[in-house]
This record gives sequence, C-alpha cells and structure tokens, in this order.
Amino acid sequence: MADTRAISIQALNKYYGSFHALKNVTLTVEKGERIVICGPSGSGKSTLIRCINGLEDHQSGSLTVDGVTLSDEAAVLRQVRARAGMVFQHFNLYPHLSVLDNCTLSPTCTLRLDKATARRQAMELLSRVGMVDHAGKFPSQLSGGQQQRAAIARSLCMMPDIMLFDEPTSALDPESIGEVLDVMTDLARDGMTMVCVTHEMGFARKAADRIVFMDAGQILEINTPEAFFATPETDRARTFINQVIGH
Amino acid sequence: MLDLWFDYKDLWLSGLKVTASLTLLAILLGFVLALPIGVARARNRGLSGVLAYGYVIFFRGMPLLVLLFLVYYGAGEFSRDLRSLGLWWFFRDAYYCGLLALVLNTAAYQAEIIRGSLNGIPSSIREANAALNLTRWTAFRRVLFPIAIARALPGLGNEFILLLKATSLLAIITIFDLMGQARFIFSETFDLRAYYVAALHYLVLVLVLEWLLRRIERRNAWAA
Repeated sequence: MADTRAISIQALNKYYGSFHALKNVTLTVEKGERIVICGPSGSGKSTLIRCINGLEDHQSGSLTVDGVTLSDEAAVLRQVRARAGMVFQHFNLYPHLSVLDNCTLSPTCTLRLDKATARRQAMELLSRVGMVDHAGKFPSQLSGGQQQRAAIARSLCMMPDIMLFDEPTSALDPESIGEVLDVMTDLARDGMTMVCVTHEMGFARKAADRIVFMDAGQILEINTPEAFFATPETDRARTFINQVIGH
Repeated sequence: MLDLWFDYKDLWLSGLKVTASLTLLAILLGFVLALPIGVARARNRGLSGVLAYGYVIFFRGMPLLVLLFLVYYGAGEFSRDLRSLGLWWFFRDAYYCGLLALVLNTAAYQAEIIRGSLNGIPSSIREANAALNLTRWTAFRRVLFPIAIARALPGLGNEFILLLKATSLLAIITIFDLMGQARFIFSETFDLRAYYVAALHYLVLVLVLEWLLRRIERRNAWAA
C-alpha cells in the first residue's frame, strides 16, 4: 500500500538548553492536506515547523517527510529540504538579486536546470503570484506583500511536494496580508500539501482541512475548522479564539 | 609651486605612476590574499582558523616600516639561499620587496574587514540558503560573498586610502615613488615646497580613489 502520509511526527521533543520547547509532539499530515497551526506566541508553532525541514534539530522522537526520516546528516537534510519548501516570516529574499534571479538561483545551481528552462518556470510561477511585472526589481524596491509573494514563487521554483509557511503574514500591513493570503488560498485549492503557522483565522476557516492548536510546546487540539471554532475542547483554545476573533 | 612642478615634471609624473601602480597592485594582491584568510577567520574552526588568526596577529601587530626593513634588508642576509631557490631577482628589487611588505600588511587588515562583514550577514540569509538547498560553495560564491563584499566596501575603501598613503614609506628603501621624487627634488633645490607638491599629488590620488569607491558603492545600493 502506498504511503499517503506527507509528514509524520512521532513524540518529538526539542530543548533550547533547559527550556523544553516541544513536548511529545505527534502529528500526521496526509498528502494534499492543508494544516494550520495556531496558538499563542511562544507556544512552539514556529519551532515545530522549522524542525520539519531541519532548520532546527530535535533531541528525541522521529520526523518523517515523504518517507525520509530526518537526521543531522547533510544528505538527508538535502532530501527533506528538496521535498519541503519554506516560506519565512521575514521573506529572507536575497537582497543583491532581482526577483527573477532569486527564483532561478537554486533551480540552476542545485537542480541543474538550464538557464532558459529555469527562467521560463520562474516567470510562470511569478505570474501565478502576480509578480511578473516586478521580476526585474530588487527586494528593497518592493512592498512587504510583494516580497512575500516573490518568496513564495522562489520556494515553488524548487518544485516541492510540501510547502511550509512560518507566519507568512505576521510582518505585513493589512493590505499586503490579503494579497499573500490570496496566493496561499490559490495554492491550497490546487492541492498542494501545506503546513501554515498563522494567526489568520479567516484563512484557517477557508483553506484548512485541520487546525492544530498548540500551547506551551504541546498540541492541545487537532480538529476541523468548523469544530475548532464552534466547539473548542479546551479552555485554552476557547480563550485564544476569543482573543483572535474578538478584534 | 607650479614652477617647481614644471621644472621637474617628468620626475613627478614618474613618481605618480610608481605610487599609483604600487597602490593598485597592493590593493588587488592584498585582497586575493585576504579573502581566504578572512573566510577562515569567519569560520574560526580547525587549523585554518588558527593559522588565519596567527597571520592577522603577526602582520597587524608589526609596523609597516619594520616589516619593510625586514623584507628588504633581511632578504640580503639570505641572498645565497634565495639565489639557489631562484628567488633573488625578486628580493634584490626594492620595488618587489616594498610591494610584498604592503601586500602582507594590507591583507591582514582586509581579512579582518571581510571577516566582520561575513559574520554580520543576517542568519535569515543562511536560513534561505539551507531551505533552498544551495551547496556550500554556491551559497558562498553566489550569496555570501557578494553580500559580504558589498557590506565591506566602506571599510575596505578606508583601508585602501590608508594603504595609498602608506606607500610613501617605500621611499626609504630607495623607491622613487612620489615621496622618493620629493626627497630627491628637495635635495637638489633645498626648497621645502617639494613636499607640498607631493602632498597635493597624494590628495589628488585619494580623491580619485574615493570617487571610484563611491561609484562602486552606488552600484551596490541594495546593500544599505
């Protein structure tokens, strides 16, 4: 039987020194599934998503991405990162390269696509995120929302099976948030496996298959958006929902 | 002062050429030497880190004039060995000795500037390199190096200007750069204005260098 799991996390524990950042986290993400991870700040959401592509190491438990079990070996990390693309809170674009060069650097150097193919693919993906007109600009010439859309296109250019979003709209103004969420919703509709750490509950309601609620390094609830918002199981989740929906 | 310049026009122009060529060569060769040392300093691991640190301590700790004497007069002590190694043509020549001392000296300073700008690259850039699966070599060549050099430009520019003026020390080991010509002209005329003329030449060279650096910095405006 074919493995339908995109990500499988078993009893994951992560420490920063003596601080227990992730406590026995267990979570399975099916292929094509859209997961939103939410929770108060400091709850370990970002740490968890950064563990998935090995930007953070973990001390115990296991993490499997598309059948590859993470270790600290360089070859394994490369395999995992080839499958899971990452979008960062602060975009992390290369400041010295144009948007187009940001998108073609790794495809030509790492995937060894020829320049013309990489360019064509980059322009297709840039048009998908509405950034074709800005392909020749440098990141410093773009608004936050434009930078984040460029970063999403850059990540897609590596042809990942899974997209990880680490608070992609937290550094943006309200207007930009909308344009980035539209791109993400479009991706979700397209069937991309997605794990998003976000406070955007509107997006969670619209695009997520399941919502994972974390607090203090633990997963407290995993539920469908309808059930999560209507009948949260824990007091902690109820308080959180009231706070984020309340304004 | 103009008369003093026109009377010795050929000497001044030849001095200008020597100073300019020494500065340019020392900047370029110094940079080539500084790059691996700066990278090793930034990595700060293993034998290369220790060697790079040793290099910087040694050459930054030694006055350029002392280094100059050690290379130029010190080489004479080993003229027999240097001859047998086929290196005497190099160490016999004051110009090459002076250039070597300048390169060894500036490389130590440039390496520290490169180390600082490499270490100052935000971790978000390194995370992007990891997430995009860039190999270490690609990450260095296409991302870290260009960003580090752009950030290092103001510091490097400062070092280049200091180096330009430090070349005047080479007049002491018989090189007829601007300072060497000024000394010669003064000994002929006992006219102190010779040194003013030399100073003006240095000022012009500094202004040209500054203009060049500004142009390069402007091309890297994204680094701000």
